[in-house]
Amino acid sequence: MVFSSVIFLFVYFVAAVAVYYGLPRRLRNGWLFLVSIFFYGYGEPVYVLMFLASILGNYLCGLALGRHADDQRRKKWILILCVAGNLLLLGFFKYTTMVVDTLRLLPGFEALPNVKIALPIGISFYTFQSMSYVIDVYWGNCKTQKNFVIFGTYVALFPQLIAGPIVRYVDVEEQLQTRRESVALFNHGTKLFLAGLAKKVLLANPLGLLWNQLKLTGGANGILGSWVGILAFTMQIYFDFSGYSDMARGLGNMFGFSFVKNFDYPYLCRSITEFWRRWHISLSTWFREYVYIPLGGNRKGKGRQSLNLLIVWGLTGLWHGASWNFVLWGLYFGLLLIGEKLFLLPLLEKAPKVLRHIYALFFVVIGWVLFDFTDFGQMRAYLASMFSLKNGILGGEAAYLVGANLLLLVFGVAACLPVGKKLYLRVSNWRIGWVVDLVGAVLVLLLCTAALVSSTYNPFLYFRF
Amino acid sequence: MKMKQIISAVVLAAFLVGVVAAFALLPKEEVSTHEKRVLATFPELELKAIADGSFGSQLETYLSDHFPFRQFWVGVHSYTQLLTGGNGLSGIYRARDGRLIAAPDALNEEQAKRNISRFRAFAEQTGLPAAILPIPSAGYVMEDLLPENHQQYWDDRLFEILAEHAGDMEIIDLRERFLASQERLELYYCTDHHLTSTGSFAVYEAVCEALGLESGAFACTETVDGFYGTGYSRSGLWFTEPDQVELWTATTPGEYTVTVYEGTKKETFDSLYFREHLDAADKYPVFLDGNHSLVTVENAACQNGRRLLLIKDSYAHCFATFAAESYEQICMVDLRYYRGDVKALAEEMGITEILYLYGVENLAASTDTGWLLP
Repeated sequence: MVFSSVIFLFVYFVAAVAVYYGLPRRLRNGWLFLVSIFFYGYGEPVYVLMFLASILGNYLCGLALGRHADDQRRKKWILILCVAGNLLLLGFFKYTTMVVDTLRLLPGFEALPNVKIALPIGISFYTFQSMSYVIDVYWGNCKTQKNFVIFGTYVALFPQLIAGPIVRYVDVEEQLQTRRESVALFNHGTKLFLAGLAKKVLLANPLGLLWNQLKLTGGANGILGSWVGILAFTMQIYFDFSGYSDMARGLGNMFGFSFVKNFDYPYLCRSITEFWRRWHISLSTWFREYVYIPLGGNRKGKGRQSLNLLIVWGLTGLWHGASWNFVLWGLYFGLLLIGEKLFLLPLLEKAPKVLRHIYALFFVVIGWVLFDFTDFGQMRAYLASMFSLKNGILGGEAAYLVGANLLLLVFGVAACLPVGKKLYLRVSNWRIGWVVDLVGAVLVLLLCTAALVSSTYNPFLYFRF
Repeated sequence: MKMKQIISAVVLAAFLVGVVAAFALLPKEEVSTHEKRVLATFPELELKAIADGSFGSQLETYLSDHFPFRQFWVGVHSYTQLLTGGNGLSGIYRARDGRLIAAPDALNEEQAKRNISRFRAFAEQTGLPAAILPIPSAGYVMEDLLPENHQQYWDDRLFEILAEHAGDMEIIDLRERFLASQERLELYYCTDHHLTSTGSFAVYEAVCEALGLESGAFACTETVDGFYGTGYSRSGLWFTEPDQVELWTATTPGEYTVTVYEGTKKETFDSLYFREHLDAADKYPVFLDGNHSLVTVENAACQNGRRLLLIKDSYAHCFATFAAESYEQICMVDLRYYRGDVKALAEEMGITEILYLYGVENLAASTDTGWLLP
């Protein structure tokens, strides 16, 4: 089930919230657990069982760590087994095809069969969430969760189950048992949810269409057309991802939770280091806490730090997708970050702000080309078209598409900046600010509904009638 | 402060609950006239369907298909898109005076060459004289009416390809005739991609000139309002004014027998017009009952011995009601549906000549021409 769908908005969501507030406080986590499992099962009717098994497994490991709190050796083995189990689960479903396809390129392995394993939804998120729990229990950062329902609620909570943010157990440990819902928080949640929905339906989706169309006319786009294309993707992926995170956080608010922000206007960055403090914050936090710092972080000299960065960013890339271009994307940023840490940052400090923005955004946008093309030939071709005048400035088809989507592109750029938020805060201070706010919310809801219904409008023009 | 927040929450909740209530209470339609398709029914609740996820996706389709006031929402989206500069993104341009003109799809030159070559090969196989008549696209003929920002129409390129690959087939090129016509703006419907009766008559006259036939005199004898065509349905711009459909009759009308073949069934009629369609929003099928795999039109009043095999798409339906005047028999084959041996059919019907009549879009994009040459 996706948040931006008819069945979620008008059926599941309404029911989940209505019953939640109808139940006494002590049954609410149970209800959340139940609807979250249902939510997962709706999209994965078979693998939901495996999901439940994974929750149970991690829960038992947590209990075991608690029971053997004084036996360091035993605790170590429990941790290793648990983390290995999670990684094997993730690795099997997500990376087997990639491994087999890569092996097939080697001499002697050409006969390897084609492997197609369906990727259960959310597995990249829930395995990482479970591991954060087990590792933090091992380190003593939090207590074992003895209540299975509460633990299950943590792992399965439907707002962040499918598309993040990756919520660390330590961040919500208290909230699981002592959160207090309120009208103010609920309202904040609805506004946040609508903002996310608007980002997804009104910006990300049409930008995605534009990017797909420009990809089709590829070489003929001209240099400007190629740049507009990848800029459309740059914005699409931000609105898609941050839109989902906003919806997740908004939904969390509606149930009394407060999740940590996952995006902080990433395209305002003035360096790659800063970009990664603003983009998919929960993932970089996870890798920093559970991989980078345990590897030694920056405490073992520059050489080791560089190696650690490469490892972490290679893994970050790999997490995003089971294909070598994602690893390339990760390592690309790893190298840039090493460069910045070693000598670039001090240089950048001295440069004017505009140049720093351009520098950062330039490399981020190039990064997105590496991210979106899984075929290296196509990737090369697209990069070439971004720097060659062979096809002119703006090809015919591209010119039409850019013209027809101009307002969308302008709105997109505006929405990447805190302009909207500042405007919203200023309006909130007016006497009738709440009316303007409400009208705006209703308008967003209407436009999103129109767009969602329209996307299934499918005139079959030549049918025999 | 709290009151305002409660009001906010209530208003938004009311919208959601309102939609749910409307869905539950309003009667469900079975068929969408605009989308020309049957709307989804509630999926079967089977364990297998739940397990493989198909129940979920079918349920989503069902809910979307029967969403309350679906047409309203589609309209809101279409007009919003239009007002934000996205004219043509739906595949239909809103041209000057509210006229709806279809945007061009990408030209697949390989497919176009394949289709033309197959037409040529079939004609050579049967040994019959053949002509090919691509109907220019409305956007090509009325480019001056299109919004400033529009895609390029490739009619000229298609005619170039046609000239290279047509072989001995006679090419009936209507571009100049249409562009220079006094009635240029009346050749196509405003809400549909087809030619009007005026346009079809112009095609008929051109065909008679090119193929040495006597063209009959025709006049408009009936006008029917309220034609909402394919452009209307596809664009979602519900405030567009409808077209009028004109029914023309010859001053010396023939004696027509129309036989509609569908699968193993065949039915005979004595009129070129199928008047029951005039009550529907899409009135174009009034001409020879719309899309069928095979339709034959015999004119007992015509004795010139000429029998035409018309291989076509829907552009030919209105044309055929004029051409019936000048042929003993017209045998209309639609390759999208006809799966029989066309060569054998031609022999059986005593065909004397072939005419390929397609809109340029279908001529270039059709994937059904292979059925001519099994």
